[in-house]
Amino acid sequence: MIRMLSSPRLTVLCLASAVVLVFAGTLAQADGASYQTQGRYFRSVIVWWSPGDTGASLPILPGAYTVGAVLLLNLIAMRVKRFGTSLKEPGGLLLGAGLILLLVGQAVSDRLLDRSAMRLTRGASSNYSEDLLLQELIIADKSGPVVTVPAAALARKGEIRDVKSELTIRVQEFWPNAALLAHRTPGATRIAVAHGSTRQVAYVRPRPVIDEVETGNTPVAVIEVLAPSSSLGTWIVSSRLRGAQRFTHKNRELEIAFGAQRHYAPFSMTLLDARRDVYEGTDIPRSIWSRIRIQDPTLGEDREAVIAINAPLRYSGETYYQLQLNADGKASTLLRVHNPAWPLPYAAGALIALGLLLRLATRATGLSWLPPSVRAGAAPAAKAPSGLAEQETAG
Amino acid sequence: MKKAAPWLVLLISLVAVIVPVRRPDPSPAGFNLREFGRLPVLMDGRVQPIDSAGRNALLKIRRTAVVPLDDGRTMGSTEWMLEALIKPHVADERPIFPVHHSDLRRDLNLTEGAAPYYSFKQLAPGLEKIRTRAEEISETAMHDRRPADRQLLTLLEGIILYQRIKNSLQPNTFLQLQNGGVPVDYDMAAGVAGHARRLPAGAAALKAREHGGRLDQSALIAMMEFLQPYETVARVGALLFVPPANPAAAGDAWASVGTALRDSVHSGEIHPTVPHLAAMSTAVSRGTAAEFNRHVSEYKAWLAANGLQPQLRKSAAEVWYTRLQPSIKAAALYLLAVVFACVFWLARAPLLYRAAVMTWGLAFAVHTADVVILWFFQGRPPIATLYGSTIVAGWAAVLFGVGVESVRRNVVGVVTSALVGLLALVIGRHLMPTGDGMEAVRTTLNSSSWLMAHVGAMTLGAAAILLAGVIAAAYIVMGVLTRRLSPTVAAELDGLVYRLIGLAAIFNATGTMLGGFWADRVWGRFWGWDPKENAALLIIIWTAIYLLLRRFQPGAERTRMTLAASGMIVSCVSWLGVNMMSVGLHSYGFMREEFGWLMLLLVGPMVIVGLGLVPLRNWRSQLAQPTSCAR
Repeated sequence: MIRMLSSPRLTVLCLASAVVLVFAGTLAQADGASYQTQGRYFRSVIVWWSPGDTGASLPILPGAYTVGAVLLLNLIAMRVKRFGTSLKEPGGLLLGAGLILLLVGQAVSDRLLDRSAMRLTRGASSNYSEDLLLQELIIADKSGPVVTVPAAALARKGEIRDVKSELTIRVQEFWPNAALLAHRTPGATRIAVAHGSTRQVAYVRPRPVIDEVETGNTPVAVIEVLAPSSSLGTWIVSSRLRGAQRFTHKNRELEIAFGAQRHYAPFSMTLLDARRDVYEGTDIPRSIWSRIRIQDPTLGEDREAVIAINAPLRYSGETYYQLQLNADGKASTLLRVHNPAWPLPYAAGALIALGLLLRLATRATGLSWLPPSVRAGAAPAAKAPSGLAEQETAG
Repeated sequence: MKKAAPWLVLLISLVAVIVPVRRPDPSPAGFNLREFGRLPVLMDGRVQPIDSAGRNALLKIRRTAVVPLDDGRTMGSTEWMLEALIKPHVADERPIFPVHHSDLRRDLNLTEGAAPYYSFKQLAPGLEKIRTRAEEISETAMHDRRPADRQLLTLLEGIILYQRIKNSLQPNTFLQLQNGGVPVDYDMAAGVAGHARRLPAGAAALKAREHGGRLDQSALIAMMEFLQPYETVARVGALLFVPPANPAAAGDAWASVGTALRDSVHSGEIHPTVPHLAAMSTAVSRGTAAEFNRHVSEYKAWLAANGLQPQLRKSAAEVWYTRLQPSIKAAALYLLAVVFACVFWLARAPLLYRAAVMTWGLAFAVHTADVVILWFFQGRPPIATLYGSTIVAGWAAVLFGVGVESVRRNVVGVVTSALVGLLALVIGRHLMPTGDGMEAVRTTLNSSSWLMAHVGAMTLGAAAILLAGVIAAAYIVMGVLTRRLSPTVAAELDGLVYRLIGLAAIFNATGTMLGGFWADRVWGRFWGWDPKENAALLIIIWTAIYLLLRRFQPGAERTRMTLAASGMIVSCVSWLGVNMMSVGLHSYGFMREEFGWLMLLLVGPMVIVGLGLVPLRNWRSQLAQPTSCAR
């Protein structure tokens, strides 16, 4: 086992399957839907393939996580086999450490990278950004959200109790991604709820759940809200854009709807100005930028900043990039990225560079035009594993 | 004589380099088009000579840089531009719009006789139909579009560009509509002079209207009657003729003639450029060449006196450069060098060696000049476009070839690097069918230092892999087909390939890491698995496999060389193929013509890799069987 793990043949095998994986994953992106496709190939343990409409899934390739993990173990095993735990040949050690850090860094970043969009309109300020993917159920009054439940938590159905507001949410039906229709269509399920004497009827057509940033999911649910003493009612709840359901509780006007999960920041941003500069005489943008004002009561900050393409703003451990700009320049969308793993590639790069330099320095004297086999004459060069030998090797 | 021969070759080649490929446009009836073509304008976000503006527009519309006429004469880009600007009724009859698809011709009721190039006049009746069809097509998914549909979209783009050019100096479309089919006889000079006379009263009237005073209605109407049509020029004109007041500070804030006239109402004076241009226009309509030439020189003098001397000089240099076509010269010289080197390899005459090295060196010098000039014209390293990076990759490969040749003077470096240089220049020309490769680049690429570092390193890496691949190919071809590959030569070539791939590994790893840092700064993630990033990764993994194989299986020289030869395929597919995928494959599937070219290009390397798989005992050269792994 150890022998196999420390074999350079395994390295070549890993690299070869990486070639196939990367090539296949790239070709697959020619059909579009890239974020989803990338996930299938590059953020997975095994790449599954569903032929046609059969519904069956076949494992066809090891995913990037498998290839990366095996390569990582292989690199460590090779090092340990040759040098044990000694620090001989520090160049190689640094190089390997850099490579491992790079692989680990990517995996960590896959897990921890958190991106959301901050939509700003000129003159208005905002202190939250919206997740590009995840939805949540929100019960809010005029001043802001009272209860929020991530959509994923609703999938278990059952009851969810919010301690602070003393409201209980009873999930009767939940579709993570569905179209809510007013009329009967093929494939749609009829749902009906009663509000006193009136009945609300709708048709739900479920759609496959997607993990694609561009479009997102539109969840639909049938939800009963309960106060400690009584039921406040049952509603068909869908996205905020379609309109929220309203009810009164303890003399408060409340509304319930699904919306993009919000990340609240301890500071607010105000869009002062935004523009798209084009190359004179063309429509090609030269630069797109937004001038914003950051107000942070916790740090006592109040300043202006310009965020442009190629020039993001780093603020309180997060980075804000210029994402979109409306044609009239009245609304600008910033991409908020929280990536705690961001320093890892830089560290890995430094290690690799240092390792390479050390190796070059130590080997500079031993450089020769001739390959080791010729340098060593006809004598067998290294103890090469048999599997890599040429097919026509003389017996 | 024998000693002088190589020098003679060098001299002849030098003369060939200096003689321009494109003859200057013949000036019809004494119009000094040469001088006019060198005047600077701003088009596509770049200050360029009128000659280049016309050339780039023709390349976009007609896919050729000149227009062959029925009488056998060839019309140059400057002359075509002059017609489009000033004599719209003549320009409308020039066959510049290619309609290759017979279905499309039938749809638009075009006569087969004139195929495949049609004039604006022939297309005009079907213009509404083209617009409606184009709108329908834009609604459909990319892969549902037929070739005829795609051609229709290209045709509409060409027509729009043509109309924008036509309305860059005077409101030609308006004038044509007004004249109703009669050739336009427009005296722009008189119009502008009249505007200058009416301007004080008109501007006063406008001010009065704004501030609620007593206004002279008739003066306002008289002024607006002349100005109104020029709104079209301000809105759509493709060529911006009016330079900024302070060219040193606001380099490309040029304005259109229409905007300048509109501004005259507020400033009370007409920008001096406009009367000059108007005088040229009138001279052309009247057919008075001497007048035209005088106004061109006067305008030039005015530009020079107003801080635009650098732009004038640059424009003149650019015209000279496009006529010289150094990339064609360099390609021809590379080919010559390969021929000399091959003959030398057969005949072993030192004379031939010298001739080969000299032509190769001259080719490299011309190639270098091409890169430097391109850099100068763009004002940034010429690697932001696929065309530029191809040319630079070829140049870098030859640079590495110089290193190879200077160590072992056996034409290996000459032949292989000249081949890579030649191919890069030829492929480069195929990659720029719609312009001169100096277009404005997208916002993200508009960052010089990152671009230099990342793309530069990647380009150098690709160049080293290509050169290594060609050297490995030479090894395989020599070994399989001839008896000339001795074990010593083989080991030498192997060493060269190893060096180059090692170098490439460093360049590619550095370039990819830098690309990751750049992506982190710009997009918020180090690595995103997009096709371009994957392409870089593929090359790195391929290099790693080669280096591992050499490290742990040093005897497997043939396998190693075959792998190295496959580097040509890997780098071509990664580099060109992925670019086609992101701009082409993504939208058109595998149907693009360029993809066919790429495939054709890869046939050679594939055959060589196939040859490399032939067992050693069937090779004509006797190489030592690998003994290292005998068991």
